[in-house]
Order: sequence, then structure tokens, then C-alpha cells
Amino acid sequence: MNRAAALVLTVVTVPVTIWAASPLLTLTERDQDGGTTALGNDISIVDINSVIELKLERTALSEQAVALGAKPLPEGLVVDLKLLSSALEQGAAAIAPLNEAWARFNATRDEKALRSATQVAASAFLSIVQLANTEGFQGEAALRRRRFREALDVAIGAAAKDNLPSGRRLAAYVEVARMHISNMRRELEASAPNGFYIQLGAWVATKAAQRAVHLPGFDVYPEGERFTVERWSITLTEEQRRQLKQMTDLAQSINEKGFAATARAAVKSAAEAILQTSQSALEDATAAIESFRTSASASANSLKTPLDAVVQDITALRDLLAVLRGKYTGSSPASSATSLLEGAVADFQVAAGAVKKLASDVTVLRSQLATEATKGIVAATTLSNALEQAKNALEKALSDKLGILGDSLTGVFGVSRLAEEAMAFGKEVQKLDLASVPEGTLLDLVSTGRREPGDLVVIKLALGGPDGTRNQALTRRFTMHRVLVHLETTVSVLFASPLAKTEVKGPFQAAPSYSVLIRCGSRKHPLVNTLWTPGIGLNLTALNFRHNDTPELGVGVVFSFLRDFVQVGFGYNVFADRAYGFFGLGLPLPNLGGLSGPNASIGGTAGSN
Amino acid sequence: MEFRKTTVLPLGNPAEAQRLLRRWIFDEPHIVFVALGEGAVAEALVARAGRLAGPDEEKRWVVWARSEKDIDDVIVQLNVDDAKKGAIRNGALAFSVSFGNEIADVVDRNDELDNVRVEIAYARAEAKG
Repeated sequence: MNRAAALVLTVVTVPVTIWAASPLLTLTERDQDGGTTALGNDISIVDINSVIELKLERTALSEQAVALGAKPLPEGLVVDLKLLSSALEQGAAAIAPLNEAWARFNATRDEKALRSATQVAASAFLSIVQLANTEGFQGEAALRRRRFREALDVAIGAAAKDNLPSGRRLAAYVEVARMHISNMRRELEASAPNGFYIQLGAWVATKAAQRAVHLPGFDVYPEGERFTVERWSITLTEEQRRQLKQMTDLAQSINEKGFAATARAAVKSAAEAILQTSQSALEDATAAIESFRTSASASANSLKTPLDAVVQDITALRDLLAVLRGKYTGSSPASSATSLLEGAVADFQVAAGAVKKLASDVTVLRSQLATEATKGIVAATTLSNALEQAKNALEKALSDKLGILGDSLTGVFGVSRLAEEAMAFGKEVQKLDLASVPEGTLLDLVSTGRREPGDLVVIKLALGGPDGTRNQALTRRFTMHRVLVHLETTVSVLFASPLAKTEVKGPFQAAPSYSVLIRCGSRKHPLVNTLWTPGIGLNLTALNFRHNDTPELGVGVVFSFLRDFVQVGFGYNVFADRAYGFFGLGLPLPNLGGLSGPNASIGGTAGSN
Repeated sequence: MEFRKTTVLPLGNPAEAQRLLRRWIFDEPHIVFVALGEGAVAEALVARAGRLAGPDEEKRWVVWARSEKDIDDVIVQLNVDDAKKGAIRNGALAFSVSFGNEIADVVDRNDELDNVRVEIAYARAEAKG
């Protein structure tokens, strides 16, 4: 294994090991509905509007510091602290049920429930009191346990003297345990390893960029823009209004010309636009290269290889575009709409690959040209700029048309939006001494600025030693989705089939429609959020069963899933007094001229943010 | 000494002693702290257990068997493992009995006889259910 691979392996495996042994950081999600979810290692999804509570486990951090070479902690302290903390939680949790059981017993003589609650409370007390057992302990550990026993003995005597009922007695014992834990924590803090520090940071990664976000108490970043992803909005966004208009045109085209003809026209239109733009960009680049070849610096050895590579790429791309032009600007290249679309998408992908290679080689050439430019050679700068413009024009031509495809695949398969190397702790993240580090903080996702489902939130914890070299990190990544119940609006073209005789010719009539869907996501099953996306809701469709150019309102119930690629339902044409069934099939089609918009044949779903 | 929730078994009348003990264990199910023997240590233990028996409605009770032999026949009727039975025969100071008639804990002569130890005896019996 080479050193780089070994380093990567270390970075990846160390946090997992630490986490498994003893959590350094406990994460809890508090959602907008007041629910709380412990974010254990089995959960990698949070609601997009939640607050994440981060709680540092100082004991585990101190242990880690010892593992990094710090002076050992006082004997038995860490173990006792863990045991008593756990027992304390158990005891505290038993108090209320015991009091309730007593109240019920006093009202109804329900002895069974009382015995059960008493049993739980007794077990909790026994857990607490095991820390008062000095047998087999010596030195500091024995003294610490002796002090706890004495405190507990006094509390038991006082509770007996006051003749307290069992619930209040347990509460008194829990309080003694709490005080003992505080004492132990103080002892631990006093012996906190010198020179060891922690850093805690958080980042949000969106499609566009990734940014560090503020963790109160741990950094000096400003708080981000407050942005709540709305849950209950049913109004159409501007983009959806635009899509609705396009859906209306599309439905009309399908009804008049048929689906296959409409799809063919759209593919042809998009292909022509791409080819035209690309051809122009390549001609510009070729002209710039020809001009440069006449300059003196073209003979520089360092430029020969990258220049040849770019020329070769341009030639290959021009040949490819010529083939595509012949294929798409003549008669239809496919016999059916389906094969036409499949073929078009495949061709676009080949073209995108060629553009990507050209862009890569242009980048290499430009770096060499930059060296020449520093020698004052103007031609190098001119060519560099011309190539950059051509590269951008080509990428834009394809991304405008294929961006939707890429987005869809990224959304479904959760392609990483993460550049881990960019997520280093900035100078704004404080190095906090182990003894004085806050016990925790809150990461309010609403205060992290604009984000959308599928974006990531990353939390990192680092522990550093005084020599500056030994540090280990813990990293948790969560994908933000709309997990809580929410409404989503979609616009689409549906195919409605009247259930009784109408003026509709053929089995289906295409019609633009608008749906309001109720949905919720999942914290444990990513595909529920990205692929299955089930939803049910109300569908409004502009029908024309009477075939008289006057729109008729259809109201229906719609079931939608697979990112709204599949929609089925039943509706009622209010004006024509006819029931109808409908379906919609959507594909993540590119922006194909007349079929523009996400999910061209079925409207894209827009969050109501 | 507090006898609010304590029954002292008679001496020299094993039948009556057993009847009284059976009453608290079998007839009126309680968590029973049975103190054994006589003397200052036993008296102090009985007093402490009585104080920790809780309010009247709580099902904790103390029975003081000054003669362990008198209640032998009852002990054999209880669910108890050999170790605990041996400890009782070898001069234990007390034992606690659960609602299910099981000897849950035995207080040994070497134990530290503080409030914590007595509360543990009660809790071990209560935890048996």
C-alpha cells in the first residue's frame, strides 16, 4: 500500500474506531414538530429545517487525549463517571412513573402497576448504589466511592426521618448521584491534559458551493442567512408558472400532432441549437489557434504537446458534431419516439464526453500559455482567452440541455456534492482547551442559508495535542431532506381517459395539470427521499372533453411516486360532468426545445421554498 | 426503637413465631426484612430497618426473629439458593424476602451496617418483583 493510500485509510478508519469505542460527540436532531431523534451511526438523513444538538463527551475526549499521550487520568474516575451517569439517567427516568403508579394506586388500588414501577425504581437504585461499593477498590477510587457512600447514607437517613414516599426518596438519591457526578467532573477537569485542544466545525454543501457554518461557542463565523424551507405552501413558483405555460403548449401539440411527432420535433429543435452553438465555438477556437501558430511562441517546446492535444480534440468534436448534424437535422433518425429519445440522450452523452476531454486539455494548454504570457507574449494571452470562451460556450450549450439529466441522477443516487479537502478548519474555528470547552452547541439548519433537499451538512471534530502533529478527527455527514410531512406542488402533462362517452378522439387526452401532494421522507431509507418519493394529493387539470376550445376543470385524486415520473389517479370533469382516469409518465428528459422544463413530459416538482 | 412497621416474633413459641412470619410473607405479601438474633447489633439493625420501611402504605415490613431456629421451617419454604441458605445458617444478621417469596439478599456479619446496606436489602427484594 502506498503512503497516500495508507493516509486515506487512516483518516477514514480512525473516526469509526473512536466512535465505536466511545462516542466523543452525541448528536440529537430536534425537528420543527418538536420530535427528537438520536443521530446514531445508523442515521445519515436529517430534516432540512431541524436543529442539531451537539453534545461533547468530555470524558471520552479526555480518554482520547490519554490515548494521544497525555498523562493518565485519576484512577477509575472515567469508569465510575460513565457508570454513575448511566445509573443517574436510569434513576431519573424511574421517578415519574413511580409517582404516577402511587397516584393510581391511591385512586384505584392498582397494586400490579405499583409493583412494576417499584421494581424498576429498585433496579435503578441498585445501579446507583453500586458506585458506593468500596469492596475491592483501593487508593483514590476507594476514597471516591467512600465519599459517595457517606453522602448516600446521609440522604437515606434524612429521607427516612421525613418519612418520604418511595418516589421522593429515589429523587433524593438521584440528586446525590448528580452531585457526585459534578464532583467527579470537576476532578476530571482539574486533571484535564494540558496543551490538548479540540476543534468543532460544520459545513453545508450545496450543489453550487460548500460553506462553513456557525457553531456558537466554537467559532467566530457570522450566523448565516435565515432560510426556512416552507412546508405548507401551495402556491406555484415563478418557474412552475413558466412550466405550466409550456405544459399547456405541449399538451396542445400532443393532442394535435400526436406524442411521437411532438417528441421528434423537440429533439430536433434542441439538437439544432446545440450543434449551432458548438459549431460556432469550435470555429472561434480554431481561428484563434491558427492565429497563434503564426506567432513566435508557438514554437516553444512546452506548448507543442498540449496544443496538439487541443487541436486533435477540436477535430474529433467537429467530426462528431457533423455526424450528429446529419442525424438530427434531416429526417427523423428513429422509427419510434422512445428509440428517438434514447438515442438522443446517448448521443448527448458522447458529445458531453468529448467536450469534457477538450475542456480538460484546454485547461492544461492554458496553464502553459500562462507561463508564456508572463514572458510578455501577447499572442499567448489572446489564445488563452479565446480558448476559455470557447470552452465555456461548449459547456454551456450542453449543460443547458443536459443539466436536468445530471440533476436527476445526482438526486436519485446521492452523488456526492462534497469536496472534503475544502472542509478544513478555518482560522475562525477556535482551538478550545479541553478543560474549558463548552459541553455542546446547537446547529440550527435554518440559520445556515439557502439549501435544498439533497444538500449535505458535515460536522467535524478534531482533537489536537501540544506537539501539533497528533490529532484525530471524527466526521459525521447528513443529507438534508424534507423528512417531516409537507406539501409539494407539481405541474405536469397528464393523459386523461374519460370513463364515459365524450368528444375526445382516441383513448386519452393530454392536458396540463397542477397537483398539490402531501409527502414525508425517511431518516433511515434514503431512496424514499430520492427515488420512491411517494405522495398523494389533489390534482387540478385543464381538460377539453367537449372539444370546443373552452377549458374544463378536472378535479382528482393523484398518487405520485418515483420523483413524480409516475402519476396515476381518478378525477371528475366538473363542467362536462364526466369522471375520468388519468396517468402521467415522466422521464428526466433534457431541456428539449418545445419540451423545455424539468421532467419534460411530466412537470417537475418544486419545493415550496 | 421504632416498631411502627415491625413485628417481633415471640421466643419459646416456634409455632406462633412461624404463624406470624408466614402471615407477612404469604398471607399479606410484603417485602419483608427479617432480622435474626439478639443483642445490640440486632437491635440497631431492626431499628434502622424500621426507619427505612417507608410510609404506612408502602409494602415494606420488618420481622425480628430473635431465635433463627424457631423460623427454620418457614425458611425452607422460601425460594432460596444454597449459598444464601448457608449464609443464614452461619450466623447472618438478616435477610430480605421478595413479593415472590424469594430470599433476595442476606446481610452478613461482615457487612457495613449502615443505611445504604439496609436500603440495598430492601431494593434487592423489590427488584425481584
